[in-house]
Amino acid sequence: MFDDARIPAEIRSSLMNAAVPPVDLAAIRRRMNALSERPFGRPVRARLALASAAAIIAGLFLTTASPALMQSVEERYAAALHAAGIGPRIPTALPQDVRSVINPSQVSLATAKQRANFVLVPPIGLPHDIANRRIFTAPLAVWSKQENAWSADGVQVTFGYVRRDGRAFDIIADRYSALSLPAPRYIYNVDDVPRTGKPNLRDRGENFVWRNGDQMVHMVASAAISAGEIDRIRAAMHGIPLPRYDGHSRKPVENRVERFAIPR
Amino acid sequence: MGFTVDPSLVREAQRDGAALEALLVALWPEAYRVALGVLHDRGLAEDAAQEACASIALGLPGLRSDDAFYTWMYRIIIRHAMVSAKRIAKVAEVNLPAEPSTVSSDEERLDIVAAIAALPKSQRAAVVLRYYAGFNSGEIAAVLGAPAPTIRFHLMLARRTLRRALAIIDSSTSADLEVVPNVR
Repeated sequence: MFDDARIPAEIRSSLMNAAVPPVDLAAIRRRMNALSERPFGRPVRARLALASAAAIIAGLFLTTASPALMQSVEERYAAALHAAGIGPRIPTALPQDVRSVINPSQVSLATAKQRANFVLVPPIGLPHDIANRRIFTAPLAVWSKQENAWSADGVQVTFGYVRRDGRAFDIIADRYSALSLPAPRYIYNVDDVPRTGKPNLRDRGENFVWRNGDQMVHMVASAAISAGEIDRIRAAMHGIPLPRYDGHSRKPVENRVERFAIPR
Repeated sequence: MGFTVDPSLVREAQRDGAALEALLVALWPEAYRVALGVLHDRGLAEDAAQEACASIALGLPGLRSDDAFYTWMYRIIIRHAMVSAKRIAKVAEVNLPAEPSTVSSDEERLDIVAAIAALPKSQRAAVVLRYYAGFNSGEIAAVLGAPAPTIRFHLMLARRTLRRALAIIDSSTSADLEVVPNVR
């Protein structure tokens, strides 16, 4: 007869008597390599989400001298954004010379401060279980509709953090632009994007945008970092929350410039 | 808590590759059994345990306190097992194998394993940590990131479900015995 006292004993006995396969250290090592090679263990869809984040929130601004400049990443990312209704389609693939210039590079904090075209305020108030931090900078690719040509401009600084349990998140900083606002309230994660067809929207994360001087900070809530933790970071940095709008459709803006960065 | 490793091995493993391998060898059976308790599938459990070991190995240098090792370790194992469980739940058509060799040849043990497999994921993790790893509700709360009263509630629900399921199994076994002809 089973009773409450026998339940623990049976469970323990069942698992203790389970045949344990031999430990495959080589397989574990392979998984470790895969995890460390993957940028902070982030899956493609999360990188796409970041691309979306960069695409949507990194800045739309108007200039009278160069109307309708459009900056972008790789074609497939932009195609994903376009198909998802949250971004334009890229007219041509990014040429290799521009691609090589805008590749993100890992730098020290001092170098990131030198490269940034704004006063870089490093994040504080982070969760206590941060195991690793890396900083990347990357210029942004620019597509000019007038000149039909690519160029590179500006700098985006990405602080990548890994928590002790392997979860990873990013904090993206770039130059503040009032014309990039309001920012979307949610960033939509998409599956790996097919060359043709509309990608599947998998889930969404709340998007947080705030300002520190002329720096604009972007973070997206996910399984790696909660909205509460993001708000604590913002509060510790004394960031001023910036306005957001609901929905995933961008408000129509004429003559805008969109700033994209290649996801790491 | 049943599973322990030498604290000096944990400290050594944070700096030395050979010690890290020794630590992985030591914690592998525990990782596999916990994953098996949540997943009830040998292949998935091995996969989740390997992922967990890789995460543990990568995260170990950042571990600041030896005291936190067990909570941290079980959290990683449970998280990888839950991710696998979520993945197979999404597929929906996945048939959990009911091979006797997965756990034990003892029928009663199989019954309880089957009964655990029928529990919701959150209850499964709590049951494995409580009754296999020997954690109290506060420790389980720390591992699962949920309030201790919630854990106690999950355990109460799990016990009720297990009791009901096992009573049915037990009564059916008894009934089988009763129909054996009396040879006297």
